[in-house]
Amino acid sequence: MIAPDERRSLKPPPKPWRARVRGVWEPLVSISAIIVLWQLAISLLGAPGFLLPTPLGVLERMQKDAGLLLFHSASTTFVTLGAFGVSVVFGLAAAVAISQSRTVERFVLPLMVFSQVVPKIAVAPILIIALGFSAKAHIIVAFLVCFFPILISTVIGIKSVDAELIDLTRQLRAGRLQTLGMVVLPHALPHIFSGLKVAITLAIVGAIVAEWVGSDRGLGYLLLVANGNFDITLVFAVLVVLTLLGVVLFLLLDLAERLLLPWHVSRRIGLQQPMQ
Amino acid sequence: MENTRTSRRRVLAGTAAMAAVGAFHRSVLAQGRTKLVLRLNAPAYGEHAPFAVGLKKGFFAEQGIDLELREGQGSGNTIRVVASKADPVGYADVATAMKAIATGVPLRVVGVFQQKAPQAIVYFKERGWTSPKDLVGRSIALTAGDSIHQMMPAFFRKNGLDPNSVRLVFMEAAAKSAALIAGKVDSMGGFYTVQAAQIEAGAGKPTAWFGFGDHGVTLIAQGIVVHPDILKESPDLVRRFLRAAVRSWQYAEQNPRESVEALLEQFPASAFLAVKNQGFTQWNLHRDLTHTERSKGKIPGWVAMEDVDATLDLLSEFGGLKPRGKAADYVTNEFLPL
Repeated sequence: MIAPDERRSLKPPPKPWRARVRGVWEPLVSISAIIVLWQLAISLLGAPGFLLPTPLGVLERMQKDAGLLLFHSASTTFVTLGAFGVSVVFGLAAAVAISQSRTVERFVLPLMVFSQVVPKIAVAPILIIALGFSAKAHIIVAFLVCFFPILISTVIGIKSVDAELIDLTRQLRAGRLQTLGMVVLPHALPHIFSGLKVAITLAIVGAIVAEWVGSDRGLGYLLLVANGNFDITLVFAVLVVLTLLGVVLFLLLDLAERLLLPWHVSRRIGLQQPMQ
Repeated sequence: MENTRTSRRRVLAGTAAMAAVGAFHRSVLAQGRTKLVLRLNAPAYGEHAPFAVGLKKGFFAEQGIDLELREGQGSGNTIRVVASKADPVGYADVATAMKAIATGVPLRVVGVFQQKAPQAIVYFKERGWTSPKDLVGRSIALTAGDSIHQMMPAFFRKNGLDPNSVRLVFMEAAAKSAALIAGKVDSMGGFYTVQAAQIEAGAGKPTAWFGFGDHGVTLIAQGIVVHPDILKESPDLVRRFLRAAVRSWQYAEQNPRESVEALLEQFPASAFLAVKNQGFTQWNLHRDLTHTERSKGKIPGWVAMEDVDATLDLLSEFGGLKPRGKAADYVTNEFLPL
């Protein structure tokens, strides 16, 4: 038995501020380097203004049109999250079904693979005309683009649970559902999260593709309008906002992973940093 | 013909081309003739018949030009391609070109071969609509960012329509006709010269339209665009090209069937020409758009600066074009054979 005061000393020591900041300043340095190179490319190489706006110009435009950008971001974010949500539910359910039954795997998995091989940009117009031009149709298109990584990573995650662990649960007379919920899925979480991270970025792409085919709002729609007006500054402003959206969503997933999987190998390495 | 599913990839291609190509390169001389690429505004359709027949009859060869016609993916794309010198000459919507020039894109319009815009709101005749006011409470299929979309504010204002009273449904260019035929929308914004007949053929019912030109939105339409550098470096080449182009248009106006046949020979796979006689219908309608009242009697390609001004006025008031500048900043007749 560990005494209460001993248990306190088992917690890792608090990270010095330098270590805490370390995770933040490297990406900032990379981004600043890109911005500087961008500005240099314009000033020194004389890249034409109609193909490449200045970083300052883009930032000013983002500030000036903040309301417009926020309005359209909200629409794209809604579709992205909707598609992601549907993908998680469908992906997990389908993965469980596939892992539990050889028959299901043999019939269903090839169909899933075929659905990925067909380029969505070819299929999207047919879908959107059939389903209408609403957010629901966009969510379905984006879902088709992003569910696959979740499905595959979950299947692999489930299949890579230690066989001995399954044996043990069977010996303890756990039912199928108990095995699944208490042992298999928690152990598959690291794989599932890798699939989720890929899927969230694809969900944004899917939302944009859907908007290009048929929409009256969203960042994809705004890109078309800006392009039609030769407004390259707005095009870049939208691209920056899209990038930020992707990064924020990805980081949120990363945070969720950190909270749910503090025990996993990939997180353990992070904890060792203060020693360096 | 606006087909805007284009420019994104082309912006990247244009950047790469710019970095690699640099100065404008006079292409390889073939048998003493200069090779020249004309980038069209869209996949081949009836309006391009003059260039096809001119090529076939040797009008361009006579001028020492080995012309190659390349299909385009929308005027916006053609404009970017010419401005980044990936292709030397383009055929594109002049209103779109003017908007580009105002934002600093290096371009000049040296001949305007279509001076009345074919943009229209197309619907099925059975609706029995008589004026744009009948659009209230109805839906129009539009493509975000294309020329019809950009001029909708002007169309609404000139016809006393409240923009909020009409439902605008945005979709990809190819989807608009399909949506109208499927009954998903009440009307669509397109070229009456192309889509009207296509939709009729697809649905088996006659179409009607509200032409922009007949309802207060008078814009000049397609013309030849070039990079300003070629005007300095090879003005004679531009003059010879335009001489051949003018002769081609005159010949095509007189010999429509032969011209369309030449077009079909060169572009047998074009979607716009797939249905029999579509090309002929398209060219017949486009033929009538070559001149305005002010340019009647002049050679094809010559445009009255007052008409350019009228378009500039519309674009600066409704199309967000600024700074307005002068007509001469955008269009010039000086390279035409006068």
